[in-house]
Amino acid sequence: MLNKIFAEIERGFALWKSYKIFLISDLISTPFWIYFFILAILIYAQHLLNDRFIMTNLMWGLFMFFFISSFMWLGNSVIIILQQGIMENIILTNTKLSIHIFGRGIISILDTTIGGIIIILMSYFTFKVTLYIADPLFFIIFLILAFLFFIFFSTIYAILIIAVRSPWIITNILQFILPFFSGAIPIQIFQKEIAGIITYSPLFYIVGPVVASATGYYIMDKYLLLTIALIIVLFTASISNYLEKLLIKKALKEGKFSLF
Amino acid sequence: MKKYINQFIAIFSVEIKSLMRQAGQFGFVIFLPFLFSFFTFGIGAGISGSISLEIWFYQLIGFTVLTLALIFTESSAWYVREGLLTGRLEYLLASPTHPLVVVTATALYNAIFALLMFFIIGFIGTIAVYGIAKILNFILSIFILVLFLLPMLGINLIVAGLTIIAKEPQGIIQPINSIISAVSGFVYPITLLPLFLQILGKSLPYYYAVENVRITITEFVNLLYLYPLPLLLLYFLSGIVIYRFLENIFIRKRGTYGW
Amino acid sequence: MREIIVARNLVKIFKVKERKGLFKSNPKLIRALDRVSFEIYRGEIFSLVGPNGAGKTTTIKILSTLLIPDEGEAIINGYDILKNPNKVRESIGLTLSPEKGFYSRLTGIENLVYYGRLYGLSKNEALNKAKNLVELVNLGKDAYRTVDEYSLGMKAKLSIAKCLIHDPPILFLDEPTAGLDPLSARRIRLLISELTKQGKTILLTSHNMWEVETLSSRVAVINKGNIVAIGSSKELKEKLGLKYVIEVEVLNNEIKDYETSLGERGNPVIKMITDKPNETLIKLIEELKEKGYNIGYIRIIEPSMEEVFARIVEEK
Repeated sequence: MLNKIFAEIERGFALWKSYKIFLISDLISTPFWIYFFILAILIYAQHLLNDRFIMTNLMWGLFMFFFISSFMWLGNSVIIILQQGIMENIILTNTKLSIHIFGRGIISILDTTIGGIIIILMSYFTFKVTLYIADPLFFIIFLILAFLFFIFFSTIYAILIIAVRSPWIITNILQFILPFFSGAIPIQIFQKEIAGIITYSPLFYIVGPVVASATGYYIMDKYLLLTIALIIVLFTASISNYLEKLLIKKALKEGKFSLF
Repeated sequence: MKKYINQFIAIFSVEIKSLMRQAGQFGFVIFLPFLFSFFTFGIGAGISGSISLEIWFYQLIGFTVLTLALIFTESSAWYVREGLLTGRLEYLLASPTHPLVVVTATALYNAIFALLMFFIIGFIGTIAVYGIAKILNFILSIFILVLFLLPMLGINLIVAGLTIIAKEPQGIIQPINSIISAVSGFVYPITLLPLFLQILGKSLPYYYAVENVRITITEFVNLLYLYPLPLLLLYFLSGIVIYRFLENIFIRKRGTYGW
Repeated sequence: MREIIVARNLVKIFKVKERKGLFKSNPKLIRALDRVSFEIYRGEIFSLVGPNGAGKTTTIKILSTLLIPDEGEAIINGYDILKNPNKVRESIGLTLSPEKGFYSRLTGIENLVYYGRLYGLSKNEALNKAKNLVELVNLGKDAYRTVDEYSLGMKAKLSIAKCLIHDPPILFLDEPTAGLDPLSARRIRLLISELTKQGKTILLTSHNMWEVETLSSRVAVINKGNIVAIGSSKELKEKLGLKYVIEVEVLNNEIKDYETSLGERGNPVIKMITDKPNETLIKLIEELKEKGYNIGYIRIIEPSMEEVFARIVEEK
């Protein structure tokens, strides 16, 4: 099992290195996209550009947006391995789809880290906001939980969209909608009614705590948040496992990868 | 001349047929500006507590022009890339078709695609926010937009040229897209940016396209805003020159004519 | 046990949708395999031939656990495909289509090491094995180039190397030489022969009948989901009563008793059509000797597997 995970990580890393031009293009484009997103939102309240509290929260929200988005595209990439005939070979090696996604997920973390560093630098130099991590230990714990959650979430997502003809359309839309309903942008900065709606999303208890531990503004007891997050991760893992078994069973029976 | 017209019609009609058979894709592109403008509207209103339909409209038009600007900027690059991958381009060039005929035909197809998209979204948005009162202004804004498509076509040619010589088009297109999106003031006033980014934005045609379109809808044609247009047409001319230059580099490298 | 692969009464039915108009579609059942049975012996090359859509790939996919049959059973290396799919997967190496199955931005070696590790080898084991295999399949330094730069021939070699990375006793090779130039195809054929000498059992599909005849000890012809003939190529030819042509060149200018035609070297050539080539030839040579004729060359022209294939498929 560990050997397989390491094989997947090394494969992901080798692929990541082979796309140097994308790394460079990411480094160039990320700061511009940060400008774009922050200003597109704050056009509604331009004075908030000077509000340290709001800006700190927004920047961490943007970090989680990069995080979620990279995992959405990770789920989307499963369709490519299916088209390239790699999926069948993976099945033949008795390797689970979630392990395949896990290995590549580690690389998504690298992408997010680069995005995070750019966000910290941009916050400091352009928006005059120093980003800090208020509760480092819990930040790391919640980030690991979020990572695990999104591995299983990506697996479920991949299974659901695997037979869609243009999955990139769905991924493109969801990568914007999901962060909004996940508490990536902390609910404290929203009006009460909107904040109330967001708290009903299970993603809120996975993504929200990462931002909360960074900013230090927890909306509830952090140990309670940790327990809820753990339960959600376990629940998502079991759904992912169940759906994967179902998908493979159907694929072996019908000869095509699709749940529907 | 008849030969060129025939070639032009052949390429153009194939592109249009492809579009007709991908109605879902067209629908998605139309949906995008609504999605993004509602998205920022939701967050913006959620944070500020105030609802501004004018800002929503400002951003809807901004996102629409942004979408069509991005399509217009990268379309030839993708056409070239896809053609290379599928081998279609080699067949095209094995026929006596001049590359500029190909580019012009695809550009016209893209212009129609872009204007159709702008018409549908802009019409819905204008009616929703201003009612019937600003419809004539809106129709006038389509003509203004057409004028600005020419300098955009120049940039389209430069990007296509870069794509020919580079291995991965996305690696080039992505940074260009991000720069165009951020500095052109599509969905926020350009004045919110640092000065050097404002200068960069004002040296590209997109800023003038979106500002002129918006001002035409909400007020009327303002010649003061249109003054940079003759200068911006230089983009079109330099686009052709740079494209030919990059294409020649490729020919020398590969030893074959065309792509 | 002599049999290493046993397929018994395999049935596979696919549901497809027949489009009617823009939104309507009618479900339709296609019987891809209809009671397919055969055995493959340890160490042999067994070929499965048939027209496109006959059921070759479906059979291979079932035997390699990538499809579950609707009826029937199959035993691979002593393991049931339904009860022990993991053990079956460890026992087989599979190539489906050589141009697919690899990460195009990774090198050949990196792809092999990746799959090796997924099969449970340690990193060093996988690397050593991969290095040996790229030599075996004659990929050489190309193994260190990324797969997106590979020709179809290189990909075919890499596919076979991938099959062997976990050293399975059984190989399923689905059209391994399709689309290759004659030299690359010959190299792959030599490699396949070499692998059987090492004790591998190979199930091969191909549209190249000459290849099938040269490589395989036995052939099964599949058509419309049924095995319609099975045996060695010689057995199949005899079964169908296909005729051999015997040519004997006579060096004397005047020949009585026999019908002749003018040969390539200007001498008369006796041509006889028979389904028993050995007996007919011995009898003819004895007769010619008795009559004092001098013999130039002797040639036996066998009916090709292509004729066997055409006859069986067209008859059905």
